[in-house]
Amino acid sequence: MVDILVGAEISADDFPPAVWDSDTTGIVQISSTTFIAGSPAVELNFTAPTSGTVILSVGMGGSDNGGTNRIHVAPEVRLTNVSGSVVLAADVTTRGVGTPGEVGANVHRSRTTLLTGLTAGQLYYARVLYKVSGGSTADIACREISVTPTPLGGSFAGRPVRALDFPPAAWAQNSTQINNPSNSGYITGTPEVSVTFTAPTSGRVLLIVGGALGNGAGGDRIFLSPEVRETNSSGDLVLSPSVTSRGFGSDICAGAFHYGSRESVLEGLTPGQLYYAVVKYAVATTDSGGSTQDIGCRDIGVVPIP
Amino acid sequence: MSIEAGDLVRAVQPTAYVHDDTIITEIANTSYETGSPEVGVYFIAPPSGRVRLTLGGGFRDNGASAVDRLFLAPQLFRDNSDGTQVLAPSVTIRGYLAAREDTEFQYGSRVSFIEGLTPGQLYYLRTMHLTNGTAPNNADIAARDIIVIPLP
Repeated sequence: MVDILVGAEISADDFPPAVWDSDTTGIVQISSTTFIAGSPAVELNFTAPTSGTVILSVGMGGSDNGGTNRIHVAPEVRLTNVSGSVVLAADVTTRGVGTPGEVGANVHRSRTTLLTGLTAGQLYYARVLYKVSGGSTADIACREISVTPTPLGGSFAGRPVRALDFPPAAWAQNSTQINNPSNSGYITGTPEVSVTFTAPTSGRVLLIVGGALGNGAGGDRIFLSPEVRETNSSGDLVLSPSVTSRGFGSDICAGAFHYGSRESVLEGLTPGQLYYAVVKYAVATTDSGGSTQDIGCRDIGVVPIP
Repeated sequence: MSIEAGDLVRAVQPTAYVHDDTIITEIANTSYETGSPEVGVYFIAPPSGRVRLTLGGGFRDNGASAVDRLFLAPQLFRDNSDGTQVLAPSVTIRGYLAAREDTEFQYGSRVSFIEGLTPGQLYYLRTMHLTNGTAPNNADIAARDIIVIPLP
């Protein structure tokens, strides 16, 4: 990944436009268990920034009025256009948003991940694909996708642009399955899913946590929440994990994996300071269902913002 | 609008963020209301006229029979909540719609863009919410949050 370094000349190529597409055409009685684009396609083109890293969000509204089948919505990315080579294949576990099969009326939600390693200046094509876990009673009410090039850091009017205005975004993800956790306090787990990042001039970053949770209807909920420290895992605590404030939490109704994320903003960081952010998990053992839910994927992203 | 080579790059406006974790219980309104406290942010539209919006929070229906979904939607005004309404609250494209089957709080976000804003104009965006309003009205909110990031 090419970052904007001290002394580098800032160019327009560092900041190509963010793009999104959204459609509210209802798609009913979906039966495909492999990813399809549907009609109309929800798609866009974007140019990769100098950093090669973009924020990739997909969202949807949907339900199964039969109350059993999950809907999976995931982004696919190709070079140039719909016929180009696949750069990112659709994968709901690592990139997608998905409903619990139990929801009998529409729910609307998103998943945000960071896509890294893109070729600066390259034109890409991205679209929303979807499938169901089975049956033919699940319906989609809306689909959307957005691509936001990073960095998004900003300077202040009248000041020279400095490299610290645009430190790189950071991203980590792991899809090792963790079965039936029962810890009521937050733990890091194995493997640890963490990043280090440098705070921008603004002192503000977008924190993203998400993943795959569920797999035990009525089971105790699982929470994924970010913890932030100075420098490394032994550094001074800056932010304690809290699902209410910043975490992604599972649906207690979910008998199988479902997918999503939560975003928040962390402010007041010291510009130039190195920080460490880790996604931790805890189980709501005060729920009445027992430790039957699992973790299928854990994500953490940090994006410097204006 | 996008930045072209040779353009003067202007300072971008700061991100606007608000999070409130006041618990609101037994919600019964079937038309959009702000709730208390009102959760909103002011922001100035950037030169692109484009912002990235994240709406999220925590929601449940802990009634004996889970029947109500909580709809959390953005409402956008010029200047302030007395100004011209730019976006009426709607969950379809930009809102978070919770599962009625969740008897305990579920937390997450929804992401969208708002385009075509007037560069330099002050805007106010707040959350509004409603439920299906089916008795016994046991839908609750644990948290509401808004992020508005000005885009290049």
